[in-house]
Amino acid sequence: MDTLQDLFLALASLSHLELMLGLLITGTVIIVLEDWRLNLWALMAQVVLVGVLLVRVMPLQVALVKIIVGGMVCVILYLTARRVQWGGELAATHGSHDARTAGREVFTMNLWFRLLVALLVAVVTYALGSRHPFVVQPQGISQACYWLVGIGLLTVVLTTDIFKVGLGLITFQAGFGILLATFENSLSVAALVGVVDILIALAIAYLTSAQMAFTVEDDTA
Amino acid sequence: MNLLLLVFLPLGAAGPVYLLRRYWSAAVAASLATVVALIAICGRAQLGEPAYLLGRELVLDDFHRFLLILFYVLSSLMIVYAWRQPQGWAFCPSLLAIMGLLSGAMMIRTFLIAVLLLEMAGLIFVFMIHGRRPAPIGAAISYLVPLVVAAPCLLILPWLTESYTLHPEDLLLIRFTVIAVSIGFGILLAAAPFHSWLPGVVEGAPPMAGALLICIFSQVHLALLIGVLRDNLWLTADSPMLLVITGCGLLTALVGGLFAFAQRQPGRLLAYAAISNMGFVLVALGTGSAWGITSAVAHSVTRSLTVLLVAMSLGAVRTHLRRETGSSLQEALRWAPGGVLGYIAGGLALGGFPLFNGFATRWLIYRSLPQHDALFLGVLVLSGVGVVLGYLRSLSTMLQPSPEMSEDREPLPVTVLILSLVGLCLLLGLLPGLLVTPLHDMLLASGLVNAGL
Repeated sequence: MDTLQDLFLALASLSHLELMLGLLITGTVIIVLEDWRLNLWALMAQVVLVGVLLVRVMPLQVALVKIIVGGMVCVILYLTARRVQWGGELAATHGSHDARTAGREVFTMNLWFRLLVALLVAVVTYALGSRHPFVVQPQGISQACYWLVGIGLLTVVLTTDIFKVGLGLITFQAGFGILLATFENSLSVAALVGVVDILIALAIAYLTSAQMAFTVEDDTA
Repeated sequence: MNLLLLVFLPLGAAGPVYLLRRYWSAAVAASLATVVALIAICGRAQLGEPAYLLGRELVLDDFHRFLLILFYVLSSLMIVYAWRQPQGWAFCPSLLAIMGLLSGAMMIRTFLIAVLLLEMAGLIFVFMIHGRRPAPIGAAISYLVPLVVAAPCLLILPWLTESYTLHPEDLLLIRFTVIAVSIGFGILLAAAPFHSWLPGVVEGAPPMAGALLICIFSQVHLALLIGVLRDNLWLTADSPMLLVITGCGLLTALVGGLFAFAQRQPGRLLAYAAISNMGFVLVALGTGSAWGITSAVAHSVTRSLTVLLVAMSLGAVRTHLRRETGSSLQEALRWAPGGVLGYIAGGLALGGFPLFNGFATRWLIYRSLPQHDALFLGVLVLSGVGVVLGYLRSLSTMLQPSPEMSEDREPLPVTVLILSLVGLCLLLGLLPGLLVTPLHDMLLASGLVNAGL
């Protein structure tokens, strides 16, 4: 715990601009890229950056609890992705599904489209955070909250894959967690929010595994 | 008796019940024993004597005790039904865990913690969505996403209300509070225009899971909404909150009734009928009067009983009609008598047909409306007619073969359960005072109803 605390204090010296830049990159990776390994690394980095940001509005121990919970969420999602062999059989299934539905889509939400959406959210976030901050100090809190909520919701909207929906929901929760931390920073509430995060991850893990199992059953039948 | 038992006993029992899932009868017996114990504990609990969870106060009053006992009774009926009509391996353990969390959410005084407990219960519900056959993945997503989006709207509510108390001159705070309450509770109660997630979930999930969502979760959300309005009287006095609730209720009743009339799939029809009934509840709540609130709660209770009846009947008919039965009602009555009768009676009750409980509480709502409001009456009557016609039209579709069909007759316990519920719906329809009078007294005793909100 002490080593973790030292590491954390070293990261806490990052300026709010550096933290925002980090969150912009991780959020963009989550919405734009399809590779689950990169997505999970981005999510983990996002958890740490949010934790560092939260140290400015809540006690260090509570922020550490949030990072540990975030780490557990990432582990749950990693094990799920490995279990359903995402990138292998699931990708093949999705590939055939995509091929079937490609002709029926109104327009393709490809990489460039998603990148454009991320850019748009970044601009809106900057404007909202500058003109309507819900807290003036410390800097960057409002922008980070708006950015994560916006990018999380758009990730949910732009995909039909349950695993990716889960990543979007967890990003949304992280954004909202920042807002909640500014007016309620007790350990009991942080613990309950942590339980909610873990339950979301477990629900996503269950639904992803079930989707895979039923797809395999259908193929066998 | 310690109130903490109501939270931790079902949560603790969920694990052993999960381990017993391969011995279905044993799992059902353990679940039923837990729920019966909860009824006994809740019945003997000292009113007003506090307990503490995470340093926050838990208190039980008359009204919340009534609701908790109602939930436990409804859960026990669901468990007995699931004994003969299995609803998936996760049903019993998830139901117990949900009951523990919902009990905590009902009793805890801190709204923030109540919402978090409610969100946890909602997330555990996800494990029920796949029953014995897979539910469409869209059903799970369409439940999970609204839940996760609605909770934050409610979590910021304490902050907004406290800020308003400090800065009553800030009109923006009133606006934000009304928006947060409308979106948060609107999504959770499946009120129009946030209703679209419910039909997909009820159609895809096992019948008892859908019933749990409508019968129990909705009531908890409603109780929390009433609590918010009681604790922040400025919301009803200085903001357009009641107007928003009334308008939303009217729209919900209209949308539910119209979509129910057009619907053929029984699960979706049930969801739209429930949405239409939620519209009535909101219209009654929006009056803000003492009788309006009583009629809202009474209609919510009758809605729960009727939805449970229809869900049980739906499951029985889907499973126990022979393939060659076709659409012959006489033949269907031989194979699934409870299911067919319960479906017809439940459909009529949901639409507010005279003699059934749905009619009695609707009548109470009409009476609590402001005088000479023909628009309200017209929309509400139209909504009820839409639901009744929808059920009559769907009967032939119901009797068609389904993928769950088995070659045996409806089990006797299921028939007895369904016919008992039909009897209860008729009894409450003929003697509504059995429910309404004690409910009004309880609301008065709990301070939820005085001279209105």
